[in-house]
Amino acid sequence: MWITTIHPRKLLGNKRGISNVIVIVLSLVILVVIAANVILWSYRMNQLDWERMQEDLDIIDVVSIYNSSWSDAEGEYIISKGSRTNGTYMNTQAVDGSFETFEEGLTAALEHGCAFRSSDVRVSTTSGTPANDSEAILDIMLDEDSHIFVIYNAGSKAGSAEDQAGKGCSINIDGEDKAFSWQSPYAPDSANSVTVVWASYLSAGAHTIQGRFFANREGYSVGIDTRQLVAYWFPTASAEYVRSSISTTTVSSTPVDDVEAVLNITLDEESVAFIAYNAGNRLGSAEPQEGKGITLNVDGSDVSTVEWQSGCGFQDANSVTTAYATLLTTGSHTIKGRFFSPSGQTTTIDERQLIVFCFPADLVTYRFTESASPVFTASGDPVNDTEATLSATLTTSSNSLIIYTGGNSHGATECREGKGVLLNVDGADKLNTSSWQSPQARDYADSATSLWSGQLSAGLHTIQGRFFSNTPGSSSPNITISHRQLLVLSFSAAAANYRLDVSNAFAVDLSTYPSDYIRTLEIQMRCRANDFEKWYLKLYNWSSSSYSNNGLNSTIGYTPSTEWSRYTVNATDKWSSYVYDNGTIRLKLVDEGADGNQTKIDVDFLAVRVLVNGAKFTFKQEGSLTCHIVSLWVNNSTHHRRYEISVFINSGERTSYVRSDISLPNKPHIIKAVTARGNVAVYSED
Amino acid sequence: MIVMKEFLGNKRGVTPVLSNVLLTVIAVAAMSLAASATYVITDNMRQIMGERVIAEDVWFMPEGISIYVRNVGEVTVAVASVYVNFTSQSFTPLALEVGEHGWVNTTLVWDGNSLYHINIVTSRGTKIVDYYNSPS
Repeated sequence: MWITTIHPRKLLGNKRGISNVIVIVLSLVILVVIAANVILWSYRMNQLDWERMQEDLDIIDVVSIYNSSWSDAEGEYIISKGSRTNGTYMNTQAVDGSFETFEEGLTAALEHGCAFRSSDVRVSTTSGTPANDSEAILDIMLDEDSHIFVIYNAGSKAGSAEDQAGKGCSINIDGEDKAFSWQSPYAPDSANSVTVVWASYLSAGAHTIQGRFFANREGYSVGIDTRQLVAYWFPTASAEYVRSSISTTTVSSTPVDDVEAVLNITLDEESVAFIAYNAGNRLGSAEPQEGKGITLNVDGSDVSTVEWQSGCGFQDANSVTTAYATLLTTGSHTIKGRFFSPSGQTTTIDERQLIVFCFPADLVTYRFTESASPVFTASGDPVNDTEATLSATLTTSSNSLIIYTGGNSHGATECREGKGVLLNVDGADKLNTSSWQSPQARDYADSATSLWSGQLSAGLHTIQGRFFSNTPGSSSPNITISHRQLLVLSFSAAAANYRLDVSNAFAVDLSTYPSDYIRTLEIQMRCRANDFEKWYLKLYNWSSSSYSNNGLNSTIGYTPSTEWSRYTVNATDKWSSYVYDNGTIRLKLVDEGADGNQTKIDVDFLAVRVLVNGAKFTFKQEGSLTCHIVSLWVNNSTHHRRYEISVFINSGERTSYVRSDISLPNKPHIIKAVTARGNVAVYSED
Repeated sequence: MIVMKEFLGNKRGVTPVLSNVLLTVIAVAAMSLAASATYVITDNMRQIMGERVIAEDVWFMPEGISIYVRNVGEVTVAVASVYVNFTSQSFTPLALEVGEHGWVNTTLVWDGNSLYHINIVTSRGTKIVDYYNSPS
């Protein structure tokens, strides 16, 4: 103040004026430095020490935890089938006697029609052009325009008159031959069967389906001892099919694409796909003695099993068939037929048929098994192919299609007269499904196909593929089935179909329970129902975009009684597919399938939680300031482990902190919590 | 030109200027030295005052004794010495920024069920001193 109020001229006139100013200013600088570095800093550090003294952190409790708390429904259930008749989703959040009730609703079964005929009346011909198999005729009436597939399987047993060049078969629709296939036996009068597949879109009205056959060599006798002719049609199913008579060849001993047998199909819902592929060459086409093999490729991956067949010799007729069923997710899919030459010599496909029929997954019951484990026999009577067994519980009477293909690769034990196969349904052999085949020579590739269709009643059914030797009596096994496919497709024929399908979202706190430390996911339901129907809990698989119970520790479902009971399942180590990145889990409760009873189910509790091996720490801050815990020590005599944490606790508050990545060691152990200000709280347990 | 001639002709004109300039230079130099010295001294004091270090954990391992140190102060610290039972120990060098933490590992062969006086000294002289009982 003194400096600024002095007269400028007086100041300038003062010889010591400038130096005085400098001294004063610099003196002030020094004072400021001292004040800042010493006095203020001292104050700051004193404050820090004072704050540190105000912290009074205690570790109240430390316990191991093995699961999170239950995560319950976040909103009302989405009802895809059925209805809600009582309560809300909030009634399912606790076991308290208040519940939400769902009731099954009437849904339509998959609209379909079917016809099947099998016979063991022998017919024969010497004609080189197709002649009617008088035992293989279906007269059908379509109410609507429909996709239809037809399979004709016809064969002659060993000892029946059969030219060594074999026979061909065709499917004739309304007077026009639509598809062909050919096969030749080991030698004259040896076993020889042919399968033909055809699919199309037929207009509503009456149609005649005829199985036909012919000699590959005009004037030589060929015959049919048994045959099966089946047709299924669907006005609403998604279907793609191809039949091509453009010849393709390969010398590859590993599967290559049959470029004429590629189908793309787009599904707007999860569907069961039935796929059949039949490929063959006529007499005179390039074909090695070892014959050919075929397989299927679904979305870029070959299915597990293949089938093979060998003809009578070089350039003889030879065809092979395989059938497959699988669940396809919503979206686009590509299905390819593939073939190969086991000998590396040129093999030919002159005609192939590839069909893909897709049905809404909840409107069809399907079972499929395939296996590459060999079975052997020398028995002339049918014996079980122990690798070809299926069981299915049908909730309603259902039209069912069963196809069984059993074959052996080149080099497997196989007598020259080959093998026969047939189907056994619920303990009864279906003799008219017998089919026989013979290879080119001993231990050459040989496969046979059998099919059956009929109505199966509601309840449990067991399907068994069986096989037998065409040359029985040997003391050692003389035929093999090394690969087989067995499928069952059942379409409800019931007039009333009651279904329930409800779903909801649940959330797991992945910040508290990081996915790296989750052992599995557990789902619990407390419920009761007014009849004894089986119920399934399914989780949404975020990878495949579909609901599934694959990987759950129990997939057999649960049958609640009329009294309250609990049903608990976990997702084993497959849980991660069912939890989205943000912790969302979608859960579906579905009934077993369509039935004639309108079931009500009361759900008192339905929730999910994660199972972990973690620990819960309870802290209390008794000081007057908020404290920040920055590290946690878990020590015992052999183990000192530090964990980074960041927990703020207000004055006077108690906080529980859960860590799923901390597994408490054996006792005695010491837990230490360190605050950002440098205080350490200690908890010990002996 | 006239002003310049008058200025040069004035016998007392140069001396006052020189004396003023010299006095100013001396004053600036002296005060700068004083200010610098003050800054250096007080800054060092500030850093010493700002050091706060704690030992979060002491682990008697087969390889030696390890001490987990956290810098809870306001300045960077460096561990300068470790004394166990008043004997200097070799250790892994450790410098910690504010809020950082880390192990100070010594290679001392220790005896079970014994009391150890551990003294960790920082480069500015701050000490963390305590007694620790080794496991049996």
